[in-house]
Amino acid sequence: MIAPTTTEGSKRHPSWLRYVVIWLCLLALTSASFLLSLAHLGAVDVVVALGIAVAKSSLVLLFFMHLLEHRFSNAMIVLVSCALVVLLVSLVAADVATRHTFPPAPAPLGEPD
Amino acid sequence: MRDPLAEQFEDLEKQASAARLGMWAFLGSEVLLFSGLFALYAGYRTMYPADFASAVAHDNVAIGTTNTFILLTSSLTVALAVHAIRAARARRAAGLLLASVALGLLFLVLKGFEYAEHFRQGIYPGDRYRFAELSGYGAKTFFTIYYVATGLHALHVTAGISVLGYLAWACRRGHYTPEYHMPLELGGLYWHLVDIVWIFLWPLLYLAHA
Repeated sequence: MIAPTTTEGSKRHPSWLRYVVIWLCLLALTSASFLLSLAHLGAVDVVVALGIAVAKSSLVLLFFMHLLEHRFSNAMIVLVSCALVVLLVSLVAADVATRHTFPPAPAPLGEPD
Repeated sequence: MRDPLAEQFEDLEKQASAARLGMWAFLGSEVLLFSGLFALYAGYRTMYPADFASAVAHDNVAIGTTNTFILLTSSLTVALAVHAIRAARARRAAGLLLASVALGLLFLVLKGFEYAEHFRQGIYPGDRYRFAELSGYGAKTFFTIYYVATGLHALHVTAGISVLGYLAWACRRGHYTPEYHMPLELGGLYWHLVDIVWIFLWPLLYLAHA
């Protein structure tokens, strides 16, 4: 018999029902995102859709990928990666939006035929 | 059966922590790979907001949304497979993994239909773009990013399907126990990451049409 301390899983296993509840939340958030996209929110709709995407991926990371159960060093990698994506995406967009040294949109080289 | 504990580790707990940390580092590098495409999307969308909005509106939101539900469900079956092997139910874990493989294949088939629809309309990546209805420079750029992002994602889905298929076979052969099932856990992490990438691609490519 192997002592429980030598197993590689976590000591306390959540019930399978927890995963089903998380999945139902993911489906509900997906439906909400889809319905909101039909509501013609204007320019905020990208922000709303990305906010819901962040909520959904947090659920996947914390529960399906067990980040909650494991040591913080794993979550640290996720946090640093996310910080990089946010900086890269927002600064590239900010650069394009605010730089005036070249025309904001290059003149088309010729209409695609 | 081979001893699951490698000689450089004192116990399975430490070996498991090291394996998980290595996998998360790999997943972090995958995020960096995709972040370049997200940055291109952000930059070009800022440059051509109207072209991007009409190109997004042209995408098949029914297929895109169905695929979102498919991938979320496949993530559930993978999470349940890890749960089953922790409870020593190897046959159930194998069945759940095969269900995930089937859902992954369904995702690819639907994606194929979507590509075929685009090709029929002359929507090709780069210079081959021939779609008169959306002839703007931004629409052409959008669809090139669309093809690279969804193509790279589909490659990851294909790799994930192979990994899950192998894991299902190994479960069936009784390779994993509640004490040792690290390959299944790590393969599961990979599949969940593929799901997360799609969670972000879906709103950017199908929903943001305002």
